[in-house]
Amino acid sequence: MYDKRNNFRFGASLASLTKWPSFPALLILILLVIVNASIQPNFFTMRSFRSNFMTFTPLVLVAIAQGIIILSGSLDLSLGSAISLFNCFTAYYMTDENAVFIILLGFVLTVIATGFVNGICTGRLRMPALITTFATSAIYLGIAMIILPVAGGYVPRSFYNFYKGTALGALPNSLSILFAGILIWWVFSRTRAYRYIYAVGSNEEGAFASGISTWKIRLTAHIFASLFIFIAGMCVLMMTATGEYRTGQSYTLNSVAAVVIGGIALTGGRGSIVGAMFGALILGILNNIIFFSGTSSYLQIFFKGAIIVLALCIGAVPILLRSKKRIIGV
Amino acid sequence: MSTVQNMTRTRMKRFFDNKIIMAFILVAVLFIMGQIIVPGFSKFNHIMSVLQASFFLGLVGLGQTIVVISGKEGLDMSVGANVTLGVVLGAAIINGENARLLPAVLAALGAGFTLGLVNGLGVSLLNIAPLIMTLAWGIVIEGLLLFVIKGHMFGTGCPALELLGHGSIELGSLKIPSVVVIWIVVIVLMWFILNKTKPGHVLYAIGENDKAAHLLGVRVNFVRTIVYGLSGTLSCLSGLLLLGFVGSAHLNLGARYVLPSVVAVIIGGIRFGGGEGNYLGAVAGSIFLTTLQSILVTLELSEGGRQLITGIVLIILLLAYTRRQRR
Repeated sequence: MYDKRNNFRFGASLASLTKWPSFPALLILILLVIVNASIQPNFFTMRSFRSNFMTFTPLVLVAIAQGIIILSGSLDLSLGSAISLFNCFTAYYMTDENAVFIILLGFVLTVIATGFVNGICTGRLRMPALITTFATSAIYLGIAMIILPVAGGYVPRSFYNFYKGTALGALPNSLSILFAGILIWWVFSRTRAYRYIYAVGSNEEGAFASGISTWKIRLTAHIFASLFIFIAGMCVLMMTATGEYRTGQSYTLNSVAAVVIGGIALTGGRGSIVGAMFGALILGILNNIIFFSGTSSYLQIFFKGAIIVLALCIGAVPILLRSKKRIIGV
Repeated sequence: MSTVQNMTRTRMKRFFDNKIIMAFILVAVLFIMGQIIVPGFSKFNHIMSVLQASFFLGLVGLGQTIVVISGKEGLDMSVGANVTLGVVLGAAIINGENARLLPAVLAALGAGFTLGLVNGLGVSLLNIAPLIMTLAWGIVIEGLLLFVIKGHMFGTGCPALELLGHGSIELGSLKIPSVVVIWIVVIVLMWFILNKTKPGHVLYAIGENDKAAHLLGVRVNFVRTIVYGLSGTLSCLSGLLLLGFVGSAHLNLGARYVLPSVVAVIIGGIRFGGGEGNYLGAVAGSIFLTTLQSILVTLELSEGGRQLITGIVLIILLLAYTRRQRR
């Protein structure tokens, strides 16, 4: 059920901090920042801060999206393809004049694809989330490939410059976007619907019996998450400044890994979005470390996969220990 | 009580048998459509060549079948990486010499089994969702292959392997590809193992209800781990034979088997929750998908279009087959 401990209160004592589900992720994050800072000489400069958050922001945003969906007891394996679709669609149709209109269309497309289609399939039609979103992922990727079979398209230069730039002299715009996203999540997390997401995710029958329309809550979770997927898609578009159907692919698995590292149970209803954010930052910084440790480019894919496997294993251990009594032998 | 149970059981059994019949009807419909679009599509020799191309998916689908039957929402998404592994390993070891075929087969079996076991351990001991575990582990295998190969492939198949993968037995004007003969043997063998032997019954038992199976003394985690290992073996072996079929190796040969193997299993009426289904269904599913691909290629559809249509077919089938109980 919904647990007060899931929300971090700044006045909390150290003892309750260690009980916080996202605490292990925070510890790992601090450790990795230290490692990263020691091998990347100018880690704490404004310049690397800015370039780091250009890649971290979309990752954190998809982790928030995946986190909300998983908390509701569902799963979205199509968000990477949806980002690819958004990327190809906007880059293909955009000119300097119609940029705003095309982005609005792309927003509607993303909300329909990842919000309504996935939400209704897994919620109302009660199809298994795992494989259904895998199928919709093939559909979105297929459309993206039809729109833009080879990399190309046009993205106005100002987009890229905006994302790269800073405001108020020091604050990177990419970080501002991230803060805006977190603010939206924070406002949503105060609502009743958000508590219902926990209720539906942890005990669907119970939630249904207490009068919650479970499929509507699941749909709400998907639609709300699609907003974050859209913002992440915008970040990816501004970062790459081209359209390509491969750009989104890595986000699917990374978002799940971030959520798992952050201490959210894949079965839903337990954990906190803050943990997922930490998880995303952990993955981003690990990528940094792989890059700066001078690993051969051929080995990088291997390490990225290995890190996700490792994260899954580490994420599984506490759940395993907690449920040891129930699963003896089985 | 028991008669009611028996009645529902026979009714359910009939229903699932119907799914396999349905899948074969779908295949027949596709062949008729193909014949209308391209005259000569349903000639015996062309049907055989479609079956020949289906074999590789069918072998991967066998691994997928036993993984899905083993339950716990089992899925193996690392089959693509394992197929590529088989291709690469085979090419590197054989390198044109017939004498090295046997070591290559043994190496493929060993490597596939070992890598598959990792999936099984993650799924059964650590309780990681199979889809995510196998997806991630597939990336690791692919990364490892990329590192070992460093962009350029080396080695080729050998005449004996090509005869196995691409050759056919000629009966007058009728050509029966050798892989089709192998496939028939595999199908009969699998039917026997799944329905008549203890390992088969154990597999269905853990898929149906692993707690009950545990109470009956089945080592559930052990069996499930082995099942994932076998899936790896079968995909790796399929990759090795694929080398004989296509002649030369390249790195993205395996990727096109991942999604289709899952779709084939679902078309075949193998229950996604585990414990139910028959390999014959997956056979029909693989033939269906290969025929569909063959028609789509004839229609000169792009890769994106094919991906799109496969996805839509999957969604429609999921809608028809796997909806959870009404609440």
